[in-house]
Amino acid sequence: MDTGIVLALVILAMPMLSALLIAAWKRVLPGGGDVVGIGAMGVALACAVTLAVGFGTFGGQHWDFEWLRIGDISWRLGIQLDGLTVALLVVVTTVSFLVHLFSKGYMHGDDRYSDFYRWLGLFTFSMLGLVISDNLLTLFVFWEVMGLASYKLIGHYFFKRSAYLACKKAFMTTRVGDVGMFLALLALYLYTGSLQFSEVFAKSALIPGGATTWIALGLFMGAAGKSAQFPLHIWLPDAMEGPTPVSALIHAATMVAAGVYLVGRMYALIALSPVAMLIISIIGCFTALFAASIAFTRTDIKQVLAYSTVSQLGFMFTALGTGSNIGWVAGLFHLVTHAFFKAGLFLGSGSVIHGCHHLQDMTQMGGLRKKMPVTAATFLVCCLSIAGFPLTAGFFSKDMILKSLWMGNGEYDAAYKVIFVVLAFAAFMTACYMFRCYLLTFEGKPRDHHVHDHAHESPLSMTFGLCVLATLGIAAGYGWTHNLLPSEHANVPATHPLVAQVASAGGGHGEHGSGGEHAGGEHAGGEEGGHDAAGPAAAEVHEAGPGAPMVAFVRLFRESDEHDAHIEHQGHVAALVASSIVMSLGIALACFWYLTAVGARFRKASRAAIERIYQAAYRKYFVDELVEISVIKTTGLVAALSSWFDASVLDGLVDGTGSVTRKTSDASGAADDGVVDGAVQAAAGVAWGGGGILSRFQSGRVRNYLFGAVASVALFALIMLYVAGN
Amino acid sequence: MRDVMLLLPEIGAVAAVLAVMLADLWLPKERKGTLSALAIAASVVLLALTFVPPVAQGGHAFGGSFLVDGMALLLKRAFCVTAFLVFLMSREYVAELPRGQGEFYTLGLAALTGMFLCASVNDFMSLFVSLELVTVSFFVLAAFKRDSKLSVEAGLKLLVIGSISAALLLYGIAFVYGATGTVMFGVLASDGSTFENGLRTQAAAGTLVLSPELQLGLFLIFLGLGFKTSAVPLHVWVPDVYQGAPTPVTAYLSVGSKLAGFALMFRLLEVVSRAAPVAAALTPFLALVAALTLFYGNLGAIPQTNIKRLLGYSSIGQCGYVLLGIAAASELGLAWALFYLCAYVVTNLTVFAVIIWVARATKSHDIDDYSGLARTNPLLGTALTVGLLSLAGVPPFIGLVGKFFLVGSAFQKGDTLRWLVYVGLANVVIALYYYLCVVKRIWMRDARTAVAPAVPLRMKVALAAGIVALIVGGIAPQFLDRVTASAAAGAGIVGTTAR
Amino acid sequence: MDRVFGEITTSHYVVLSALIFAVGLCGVVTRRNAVVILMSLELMLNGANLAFVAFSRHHANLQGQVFVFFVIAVAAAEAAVALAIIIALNRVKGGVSIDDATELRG
Repeated sequence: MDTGIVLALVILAMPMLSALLIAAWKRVLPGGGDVVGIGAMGVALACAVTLAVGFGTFGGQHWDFEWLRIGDISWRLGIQLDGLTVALLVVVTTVSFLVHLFSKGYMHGDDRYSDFYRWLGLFTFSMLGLVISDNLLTLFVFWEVMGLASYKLIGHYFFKRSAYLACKKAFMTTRVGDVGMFLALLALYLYTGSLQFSEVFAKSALIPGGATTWIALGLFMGAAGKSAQFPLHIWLPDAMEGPTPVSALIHAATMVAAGVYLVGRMYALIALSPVAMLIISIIGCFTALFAASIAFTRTDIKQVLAYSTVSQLGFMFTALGTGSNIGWVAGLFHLVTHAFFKAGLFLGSGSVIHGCHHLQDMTQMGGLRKKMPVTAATFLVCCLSIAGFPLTAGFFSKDMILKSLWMGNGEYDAAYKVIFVVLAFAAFMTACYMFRCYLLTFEGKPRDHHVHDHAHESPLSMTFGLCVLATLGIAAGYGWTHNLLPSEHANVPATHPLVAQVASAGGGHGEHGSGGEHAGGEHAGGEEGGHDAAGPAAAEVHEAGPGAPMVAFVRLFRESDEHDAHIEHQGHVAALVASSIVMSLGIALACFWYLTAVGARFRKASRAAIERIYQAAYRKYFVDELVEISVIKTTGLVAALSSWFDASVLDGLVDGTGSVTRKTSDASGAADDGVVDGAVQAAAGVAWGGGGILSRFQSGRVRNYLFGAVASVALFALIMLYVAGN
Repeated sequence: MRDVMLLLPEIGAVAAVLAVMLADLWLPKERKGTLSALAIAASVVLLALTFVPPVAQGGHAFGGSFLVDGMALLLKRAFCVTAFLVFLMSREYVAELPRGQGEFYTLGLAALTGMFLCASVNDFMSLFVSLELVTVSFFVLAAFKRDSKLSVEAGLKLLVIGSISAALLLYGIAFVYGATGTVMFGVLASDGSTFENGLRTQAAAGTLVLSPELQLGLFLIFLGLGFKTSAVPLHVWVPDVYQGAPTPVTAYLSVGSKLAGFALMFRLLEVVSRAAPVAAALTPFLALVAALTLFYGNLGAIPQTNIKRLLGYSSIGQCGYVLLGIAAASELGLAWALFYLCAYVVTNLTVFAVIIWVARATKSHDIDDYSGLARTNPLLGTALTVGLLSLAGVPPFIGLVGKFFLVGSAFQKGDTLRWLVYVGLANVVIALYYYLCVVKRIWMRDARTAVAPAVPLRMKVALAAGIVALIVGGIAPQFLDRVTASAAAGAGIVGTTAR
Repeated sequence: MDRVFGEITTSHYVVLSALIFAVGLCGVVTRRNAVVILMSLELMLNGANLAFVAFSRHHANLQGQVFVFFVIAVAAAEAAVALAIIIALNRVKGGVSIDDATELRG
């Protein structure tokens, strides 16, 4: 196996290991297992950084094995490393590591401290697995595992009714999206006979045009569920019931990114349907605007951030929806930068909440900057980044998004121009409400002296993460992300994942090294070189692989871009101007409203004028109620009908299915009793010193015996087949 | 007719089953004791039948499905001795049962029939049926005291785990059949040209490669047999069932049932050892199982307070040593495994005889109640001491010889199994600890109860004979060695050509 | 589409038998009621039987089918004994849950 693959496997194994260790020995491990979790994530982070640094020399890599063969149908599973994967590996491990660290302080003294770390580990594992999968099957499996882990984490305070309702809502809502995704996967398999990315892309010509659109929309439906796009966004604000570090990890940096990642990964397929692309862009744009307007009306600091996340995810989808190369780069670039500054914001809000003794209402805060200077400074930096202040990471990515919209994709250019304007307005709102949030919390006079007097700065384990994330909130715009995600100037450098996919499908790795890396490091200087060098490399790949349609697709955009060099320039200028103006206006307006007395009066007057709209936004535009009526009531009706059908017609059949399900759940219960308890007991036996270890397994329960025996048989079989295989 | 003559011991055993069953119906209640004599006599007659010329000459019958060779004969004789000793020591115990004397002997002899068949089978169909004959008989025997919670629980555990291992075994057989197209053992030893569909393919270098189906099948079969021999991971029933079952049944189970499982393992192994790739695929697996079994048995025994339970764990550990020899998979390993098992029959039954008779006096299986046994009944105390020391592998008793050479056979296998040698040695030390704890109580503590166990003359003779056998066997192992070595060397010779 | 719904080969039967076997295995491992465990065991045996019959057809010999008859006979004997033990369990414990039988342990 190649070095990169080994590193990727280590990265993947680390959080799983941590989760298993904590699950088995939470009472024995030092600090309830937090050391294990943080250590494991540290190792994973180190590996991910090594991988990113060495990516230039490793190049794209692919490794797979035959998992199952039925008749002449062969299923292969494996790992694929390209620029996108490596970039996300770095993002996920970084944020996850910092969140693990942050939680040490934030979750201190929690009753279910170890469980928290266990699920955090499982969550990270599934996210990493999702990113490195080379096929949709394992991607889907990890996708669902992630749903489970997020369910457990949101419901961490399950004794609170709101929390358990929230985790249920999150789980069910994302499941709705998954239905679409699952249907899309089935359709893909029927048409192409494979779920491996490279093969699906290579055979995408076999899919009829209309089906492509439906498949693309099905995939987007899954993505919209996970990434909280309208109308499936309703779960994300409620998910703030989870502990704040969880919000930072799941609902800012990683899980919600999974949907964007899916669309980015399947881009070569989705982009074949301009209609689907336009729909994605419109929904993204609408979500961005819609969520931003709601964010204005929130007073809970985490709720503001939640709606801001929904809005920013909309930005990403809007860019991806252009279907162009630059749109692809812009959307995923924004994903990376957003992960850092939004995680920073969430952890910052966590620090505030921690410092104010679990108060989340901004109207009772104010003037906290002096009490918590580090938190305030880092929060400000992240706010600047999300607002798109020049030279921060958010500036570059948002700029690129606007630029991609301006340039359009040659199919519906006019529509994209409209979207450009709307999105620019959403960016203005972003700057405004984020500064509202910052100013309400940290500046001005303290509005509640009791809160203010008792506020305190958080411990180093928490502020450390804030500083790192704030730094990354600026630094992520430079250098390495360009290296991994190809820079917009070298339109399709050889490191472009699409090209890398084609290359790996064709079995060649030779296209790396010539131009792509140079194009990244000093992106302004290396522009010409990267551009030229990539040309022959891509052409060479074109000859080699079975992924010819893909290359043709990539080349299409290359050529059109060359043709319209001046449009690119125009887009660049338009985006720069628009984003600078909206950013300045937004920040200025927020300062005017919330820092000056005149502004405050003005604000109150204008709010009275738009009371109805304000109320609508405050009630989240009644989407929850709408869903309540349309989906849940309908479902209830259908369920009642089904229940009747079930009871009177299908009793035997359904009962059989049900009992299989029950058996499965019982099996997991038995696993808990037999394996987990057994392991804990065994550990205690070691502590007592000596011989009693094994007799603890002899619990007297036949079911435990059976489970142990059957599990060992399976384990032995694996070992034996492994030994025989070598 | 010659075919039928080869089956004389089996036919005799079935006849004995029927005889005891009928006698049970005819005999009045006060004369049920005769059944015990009948069963003891039957086991002696069956032993004699194995020396009748057509049987003793060996051969194969029924198209190669049934095989009588040196190993089969030796094992059948060992089964007869086992049955004889078990029936001998349990006469009074059974007589005091509220009901079912006849059934006890009937089922005991039915199990013996199954064991006989196990020693001689040469195809998977007979293997399954004869193995189940043994297992199902033991289901009933373990739950024999049906008013006792412990006995019923033991029966239930044996039933559930026994059935699941039977299912695994059967599934393994299905795969072997699928890979090879026949249920005869002989095919496993063939050169591969007879295999259909290229399931076992000829690789470029001319080496034989095992198909995954065949590998999985053999793996499941060996695991399923591991249930009978109490090998990890299907050993979980052993401590519980040993403790809960009626003590004579435990004794029978610990020796007869285990030996039957090993008989089948030896048979399969003897066949596959002629096909290098099959053996090579199995060796690491068996070595792993041997190591785990050793550790499980010997570590688990340490904290025990119930002597039957302790012997359950001990029996797992003993199984580990035999597996060690099997993993070595050489003729030497097989010979010493046979030797060890023959020694184990005598040793373990001596120990269980003592337990039965002590418990008749104390009504307890608590190890603490063995305190001062050497004073209250020196014969029982001595016999138990000798038996346990022999199990532990202390000189000059026979157990040491067996352990020494089993570990030695693994040592000869070379570097690949060197680690297993160390595992074996480490376990000798561990095992010494818990056996000596019992011995210490027997000799160095004062008796807890004033009840002195008394034994009839018959048992005194048997126990004394057992002590003598263990010592003589330890000092002069060559007599038994000669028998087992020739049995191992003669294994399969008659039946290799059978297809 | 043909690749999914093509000719039914021996492999398909074997996969089905593995599934039946696995369902039985899960049942044995997870259920508490001894009678249901017994039923699950029968399911496992029947999974194996199906494999035998499939292989028998594949190899075009009858050994596998003959084997199945032996298995059915043995399973019947086993079931008879098992039910007897379960009745005994019900008498001494007042129930047929195997979780009641936990006195032997350690």
